Amino acid sequence: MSAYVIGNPVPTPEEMGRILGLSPEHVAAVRRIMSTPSGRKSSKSKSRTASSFDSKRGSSRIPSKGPSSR
Amino acid sequence: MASRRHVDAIFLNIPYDKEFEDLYVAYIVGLTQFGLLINATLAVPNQGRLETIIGLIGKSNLSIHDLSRIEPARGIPRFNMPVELGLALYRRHTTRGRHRVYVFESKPYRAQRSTSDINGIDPQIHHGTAKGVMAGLRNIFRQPGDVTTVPEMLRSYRAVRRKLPELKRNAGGESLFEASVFQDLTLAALVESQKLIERRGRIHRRSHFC
Repeated sequence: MSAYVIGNPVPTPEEMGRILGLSPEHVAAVRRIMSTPSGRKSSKSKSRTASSFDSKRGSSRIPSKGPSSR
Repeated sequence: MASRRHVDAIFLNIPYDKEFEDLYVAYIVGLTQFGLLINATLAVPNQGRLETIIGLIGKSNLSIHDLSRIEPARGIPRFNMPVELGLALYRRHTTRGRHRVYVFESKPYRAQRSTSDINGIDPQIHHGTAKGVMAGLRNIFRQPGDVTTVPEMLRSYRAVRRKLPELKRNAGGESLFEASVFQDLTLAALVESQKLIERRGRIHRRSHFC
C-alpha cells in the first residue's frame, strides 16, 4: 500500500481553532490546561470555562448534542 | 486577519463508546499530529443521519474505518461501521481514487473474512492498543520531512490522556464523545505537537553547536 503524503505542515492550535470556528480565548484556555503540570488544578478550570468564551461552539464541522448511539 | 490554510480532512469511522475511549483518543491525537482535520459522526441525530454522514465523507479526501468492533452487542451485530465503509468506497470509486480509504482492525485476517469484498485493502492491525493505532497511522501517512515518530505520538497521547478530566470539565462535557470535548482534544493534541516541534528544534540547535 502506498503511503499518503500529507501536503501541509501541522497547523498550530490557533490555526485549527480558526478552522473549527473557535475563539482565540478558547484556544488559550486549552493551552493553559496542557501547560499546567499534572496534579495541579488549572486556575482557568476553577474560575471560568472555555465554553463561556465561545459563542460559536457547536457551529463547527460536527454537531454539538450528546453522544451517538452507534 | 490571517488567512485560512488548507488542511486535509479525514472521515473517522470508529465506535463511539466507553470501551473504545483509549483508541478514540489515540486516533484523535495521531491524526491531528499528522496535520489532518477530523470529520466525525459524533452526535449525529438519527433523523437525517445518513445524509449527514454522506456529507462528511464528501468533505473529506481520506477516511479511516475501524472494523475491530463489529461483533454483536446485546445479541445484535453492529453494521454502522461497514455501512459507512461502503459509502466511502463508493466515493472512492466516483472520485477515481482521489478519496482514499483505509481500514483498521484489531485482529489479523479477520476483516478479510468478515468483509471479503475489501480484500484489495490491507487493514492496519492495531491489536486494540494505542501504540498499534499510532503505528498503523504511521504506516499509511507521511509528512513533509517525515518527522513524527510513534514514540513521540505516544508521548503526546499520554499527555492528553492525563489531562482528560480537566479537558472534559473545561468543555462542560460529561462524555469524551461530545463535540465540544472532541474539539478540545484536537486542540490539546496540537499543543503537544508544538511542544514536540520545539523540543526537536532545541535538540537540533544543540547538536549544531556541538
